[in-house]
Amino acid sequence: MEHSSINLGPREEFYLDQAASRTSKMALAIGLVALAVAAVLGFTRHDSMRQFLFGYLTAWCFYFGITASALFFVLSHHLFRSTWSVVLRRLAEALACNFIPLAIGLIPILLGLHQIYPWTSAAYMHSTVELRNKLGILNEKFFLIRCILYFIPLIALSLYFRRVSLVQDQDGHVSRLLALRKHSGWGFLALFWIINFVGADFIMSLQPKWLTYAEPLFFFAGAIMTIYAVLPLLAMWLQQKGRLQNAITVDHYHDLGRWLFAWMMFWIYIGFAQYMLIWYANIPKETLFFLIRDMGPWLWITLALLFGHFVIPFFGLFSRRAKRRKGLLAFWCVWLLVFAYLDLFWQIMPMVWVNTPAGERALNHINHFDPYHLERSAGALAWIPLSPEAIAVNILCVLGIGGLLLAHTFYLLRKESLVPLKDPGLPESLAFEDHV
Amino acid sequence: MASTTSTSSTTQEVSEPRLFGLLAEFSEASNLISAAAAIRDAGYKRWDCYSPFPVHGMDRVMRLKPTVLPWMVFAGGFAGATGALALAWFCNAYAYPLIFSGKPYWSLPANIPVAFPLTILLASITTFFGLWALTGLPRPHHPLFTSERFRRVTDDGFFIAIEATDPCYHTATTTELLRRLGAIAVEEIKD
Repeated sequence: MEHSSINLGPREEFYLDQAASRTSKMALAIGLVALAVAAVLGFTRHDSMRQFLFGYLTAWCFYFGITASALFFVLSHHLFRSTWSVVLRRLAEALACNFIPLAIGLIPILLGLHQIYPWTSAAYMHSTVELRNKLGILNEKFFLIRCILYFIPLIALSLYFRRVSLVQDQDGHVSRLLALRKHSGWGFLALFWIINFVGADFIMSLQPKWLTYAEPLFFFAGAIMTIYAVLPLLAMWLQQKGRLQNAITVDHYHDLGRWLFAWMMFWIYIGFAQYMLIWYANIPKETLFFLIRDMGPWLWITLALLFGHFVIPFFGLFSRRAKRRKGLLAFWCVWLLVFAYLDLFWQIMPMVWVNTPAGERALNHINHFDPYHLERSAGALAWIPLSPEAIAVNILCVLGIGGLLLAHTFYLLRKESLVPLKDPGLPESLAFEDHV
Repeated sequence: MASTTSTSSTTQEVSEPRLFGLLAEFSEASNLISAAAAIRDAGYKRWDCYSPFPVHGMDRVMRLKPTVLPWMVFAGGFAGATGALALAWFCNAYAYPLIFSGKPYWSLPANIPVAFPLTILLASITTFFGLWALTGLPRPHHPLFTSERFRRVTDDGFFIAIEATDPCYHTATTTELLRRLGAIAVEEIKD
């Protein structure tokens, strides 16, 4: 490949330098303050930090999804030998390294395991035969082991793919790229299964009695979509700062928008498949999930997800123009990130009231096929995770973890080039043009 | 029927080929782009570029209008979705209501799986045949195939053909224009 055809512009266009450190420090400050305020607000609720822990778990899962999808972007880039995405890869590589702070961020969840997960209570797990049979999986020791088993390959993969890519910036050996391609295969499979298992362990196990077909895959679908909303926003921010002006073109945005649209469709596909099978079979062990989200205010959140995560953006992102105009694409990226968070909120937060003695009593009506009394006894309880302070805690957790992770990302980006300078596919990516 | 006259007119058509237009060959893709820009500026409407591979920027230079195919596909998909739901409703809830496993006669979730593939089926059929209709397929013969030189279009030849039906077309001046734009060969195509 001729290197003379590379036109990246002056050095200032593909290095962040001072801007990265400034942004990193600002994000760190915002993150720390937001998390501290969230913790104090959570403490004042006198619910042994349950609201804070659930808000924290929701935000953690949201950012786990973004980080995992960043690694997904890097691995699929190498696995399919893409060239169009070379100019975006370095950003995804840096985002994927957030697994290290996320692993540290597990500590509050592990400390609050008894407040979050009902399967930590021996009395609860011995209450039915079915629950007793799940003790082999749902116990604290094995949960901790699984967390370690998930994070070792995730951290190793993200560090390795970034490190080798940076080494190639120095020596330009094509063997670096070939090594990455070689490891992308098993890494891709491992990542797929780990995301599914994280969905099962952190979200599905909130309701140990629940049986379902596709919840882990549903989490996977919602998670992978997020990188295709984060990358355009990050790229637009960089271009506003005068970086990568020539490198990232409208054609790159167009393709990111298409992927965003595709993963949004996959999300509703899996979500509806799960809903329809549960609706059709109509077994209490399965309908439990949707019954809880059918009550009072939660019905409106369910409908908001259907329309906000699918129907409205389906028509909004449908046309070519929506994906090729920066302002419009940015709007839909922010929109879908908000609904990606609401998706996790909808999956996790009802457990704040369900996993209490009062909630358990109310849900006993399900076993007697008595939705009327369920609605009556649980109607007020369902509002608990939706009070203004509760929502404030959730938002502060999103800002808090987000700020810390953003600080880490920009800390990594402060010295390195924003594009892989000696990747053989770079000229092709710079000249990438979309014909369809 | 005056059979003799009709026969003679047919032979006349065959013996005297109709003028299709001018075919100009260019040496490389960049020349093709600059020539296309000049032809566009000269006001020609019925002309086309031919190259062995897609030339970046050609759509913009030729000022090609966006295709209407997406709208046809949308109509096809919409017809598939509504048609499937209407059929399911008519059969299961109206003409011959049946109770399946205690479910209501009519309910949306149960019928989405039918609507989904039919949406895709009609949308893809519309795409396939819509593309054929818009591109004028099937077309077993094209006047340009008579040119020996044009065979290289699938290998290393870059061509522009201006049709004789173009209002700006005039054999002498158009030839002159093409030569000025750097054509290495200009020939008249008759079919």
